[in-house]
Amino acid sequence: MEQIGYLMLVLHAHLPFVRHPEHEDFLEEDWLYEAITETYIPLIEIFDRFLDEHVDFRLTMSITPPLASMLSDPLLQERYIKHLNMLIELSEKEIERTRWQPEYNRLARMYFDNFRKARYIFQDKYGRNILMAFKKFQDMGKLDIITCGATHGYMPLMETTRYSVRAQVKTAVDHYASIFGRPPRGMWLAECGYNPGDDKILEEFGIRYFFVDTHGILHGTPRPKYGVFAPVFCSSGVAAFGRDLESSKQVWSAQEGYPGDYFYREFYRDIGFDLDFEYVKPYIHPDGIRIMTGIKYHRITGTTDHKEPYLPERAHEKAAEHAGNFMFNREKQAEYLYARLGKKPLIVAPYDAELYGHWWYEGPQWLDFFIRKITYDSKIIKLTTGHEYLKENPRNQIVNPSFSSWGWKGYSEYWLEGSNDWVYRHMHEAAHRMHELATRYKNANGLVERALKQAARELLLAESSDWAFIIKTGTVVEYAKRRVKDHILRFTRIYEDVKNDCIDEGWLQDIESKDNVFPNVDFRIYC
Amino acid sequence: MAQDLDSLSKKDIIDLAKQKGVKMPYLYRKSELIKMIQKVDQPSLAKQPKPRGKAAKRIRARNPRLGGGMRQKANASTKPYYEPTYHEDTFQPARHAAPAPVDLNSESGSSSGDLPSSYQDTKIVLMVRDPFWAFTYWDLSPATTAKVNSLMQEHYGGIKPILRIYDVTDVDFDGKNAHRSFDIAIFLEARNWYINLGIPSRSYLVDLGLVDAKGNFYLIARSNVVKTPRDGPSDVIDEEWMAVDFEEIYALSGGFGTGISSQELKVKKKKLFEQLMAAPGSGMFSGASPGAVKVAQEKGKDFFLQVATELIVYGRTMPDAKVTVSGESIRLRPDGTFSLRYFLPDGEKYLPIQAVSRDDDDSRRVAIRVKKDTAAE
Repeated sequence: MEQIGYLMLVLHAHLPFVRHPEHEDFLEEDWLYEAITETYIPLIEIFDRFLDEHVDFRLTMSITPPLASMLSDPLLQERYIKHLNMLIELSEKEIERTRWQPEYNRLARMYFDNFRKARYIFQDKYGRNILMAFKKFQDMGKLDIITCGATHGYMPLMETTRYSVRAQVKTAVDHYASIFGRPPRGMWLAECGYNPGDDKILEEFGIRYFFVDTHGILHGTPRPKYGVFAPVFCSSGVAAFGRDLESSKQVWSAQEGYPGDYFYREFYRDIGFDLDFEYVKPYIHPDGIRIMTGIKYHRITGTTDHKEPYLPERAHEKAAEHAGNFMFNREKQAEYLYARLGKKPLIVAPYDAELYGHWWYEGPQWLDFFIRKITYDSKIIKLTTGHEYLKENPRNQIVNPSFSSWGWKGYSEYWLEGSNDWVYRHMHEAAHRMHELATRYKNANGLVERALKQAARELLLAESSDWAFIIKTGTVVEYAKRRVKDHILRFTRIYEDVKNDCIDEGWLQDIESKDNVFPNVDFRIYC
Repeated sequence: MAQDLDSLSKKDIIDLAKQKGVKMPYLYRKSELIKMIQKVDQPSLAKQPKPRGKAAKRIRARNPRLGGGMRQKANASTKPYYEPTYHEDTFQPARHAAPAPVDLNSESGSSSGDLPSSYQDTKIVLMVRDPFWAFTYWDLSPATTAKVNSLMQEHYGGIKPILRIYDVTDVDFDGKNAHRSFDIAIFLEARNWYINLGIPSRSYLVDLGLVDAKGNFYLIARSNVVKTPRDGPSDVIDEEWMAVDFEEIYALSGGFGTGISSQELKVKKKKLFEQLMAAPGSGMFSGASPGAVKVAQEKGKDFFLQVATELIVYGRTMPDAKVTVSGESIRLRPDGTFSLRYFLPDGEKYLPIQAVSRDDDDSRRVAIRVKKDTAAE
């Protein structure tokens, strides 16, 4: 059988910029540490093994600028090592504590081995900067790293301040080039938020393709001949790839998705909550707040609170089984589509990277099995990337996608509703003011230039869609509100100080050291 | 007032004082705190023109520049506008009811104070939320606020703030050439509103202004133009790229139709459509009489309940049929479906719907009669 379809796997890796040098311990910084241990390092491990074994894989990964900034930040790297050493120590104690419980003892050893391996990969193999691992895979043509708006800003709600969109795009493109040594070809729009016209801005900064949700393509103008199974060109010439819902759902769906299998590890049972307070105290938050440690001994088991011990071998088999099932379904899908479309379909399957490993512990194993299977066993489907696909299929229909997002209900409601709508008044005002400053002080240098660069950083950080998201979700609401407020207030102070010619250098230096993203940000983009 | 406060425990007084913006209230005696609280409360009652109604009263109470200096301070700290606002279960937007103050500085130490509640500039901004809804926020400069207040006094009781929404699809708007427009009565101090625009894939702008008893409109600010997304596939077909069977492609891709691929999605999308359509509307098309909105409110109290209803008529016929509702022809979607949304006042509404086949050979007629009655109980 000849190859009759393409599959593009996209992992969207993102965390908001959380870095608090002013605190010894900061709870929200753990998001990064957990993601490194549970998602990024397992992925690196798999990709390195692919290289060793000559598995010719293709995968697309967006590494957002705030995530890249944190991964390359020496302070956070240092803190991650500290965090990891603590986990190693805890798992050592666990081996001792579970001496007489073989079903847990072997799990404690598993964690101990995993944490040590993580330390080796992070510290020894990649010199604390795991971006270099991803860069290596990209340079070898296996991984396509795309970027995202500078702070994961949700662009459809910047319609009245389009210089904010331009700044999100340009800052990201510059930052990407400084890390990966070449400009990015593709961009993941935060939350797949697409507002017609934004593609022109992408085009201006050399982006060749981006991703939209299914209805972005289906409701595009004119009607897309191949639905979401082929990319379209916007009239600006930039390509848009649409998400395939069927493949997404198999992994994502709470009911029928793979991650809910009873043999997979239970996320919510963690020794940080299960064990005696005095025992875990040194490994939880210094204020005595119990937190997840990452050491979890149970499997999902069923729908009740009763949880059986985790059986790694059994879970591993399940991951293999699910990978086989996923491939079978994609092949059937491709065959059917090929017959209906008269063209090799492209199936685009994007996921949040942190789903793999962090939430779905066996996700990286599943990915490992699936990529091997499809590379070796499938004659029907070929893995591809946006760049490769467009090179092989340069002729595509011109369709202007419709305004859309992959959020709840498909548009902007998640980021614009009663709990979070107040933020836009301030973001828009700050963007207008930034425009005013950039225009007026275009030729600034010295202290004024430093202040303007910091103003741009503060605005960008305030624009992160994560804050509105968290406020709506109701998780760490106070933290998210404080971030919006802090960045807007810092911005406002700079705005006033610059205009009144009274910049306080000591204060500026302090916030430069805290909000230290994008050292080379080009504030003139706001002109 | 003083009597009431005296009867409270010191702890309650401290809590109240905190809400009123008194810093470190536990440092003061109870009697001192009571005085401070009274001082904070006073200016809003003094020297204000007789309030015309709820809206006017609120404007004065909430707008720092219309009150005394102390008032302003109290406002700044007791009513952080960043407090979540709710709109979902009523079409009343963002209500800035006094929330418990949130101390956002406890950990940061690097920035202090609250975000400004106003940027002292008159403007209105319109933002798209989805195919049916938009969000708007506005801000008034002190000068504008003064003008608005003097107009309000001049037309005592006979002038009200409104949002006037214009459909300006494909026109260069000159104030008169909109395809249609409708008004929404608002409270100026709400400072934001969710608007049900009704018809997707159109361009809109909104005017914030006052309308007097004679129907004269006083413009305060005009918004940007936005275009809402369509909620279905485009009518435009590129012949060179014509799908053999677009409906099937649409379904396979996960569109609304009968999909072999995603039954679940179909349900989800259908639900979405229903949710979007069924959400209570703040937007009412012109012709809506304000009396149709039931306001349940006790005199002199802030608490109230507003209820309004809308009627959604939707259906399906052959895509090439001609359909009229109450004698007016309507446009079908490419797949032959249609949906219309009407304001539903009290009383009886009669809607005859007729579909005529393309060759005029066949026709079907369905009539809907709806009776609506609203009463405070």
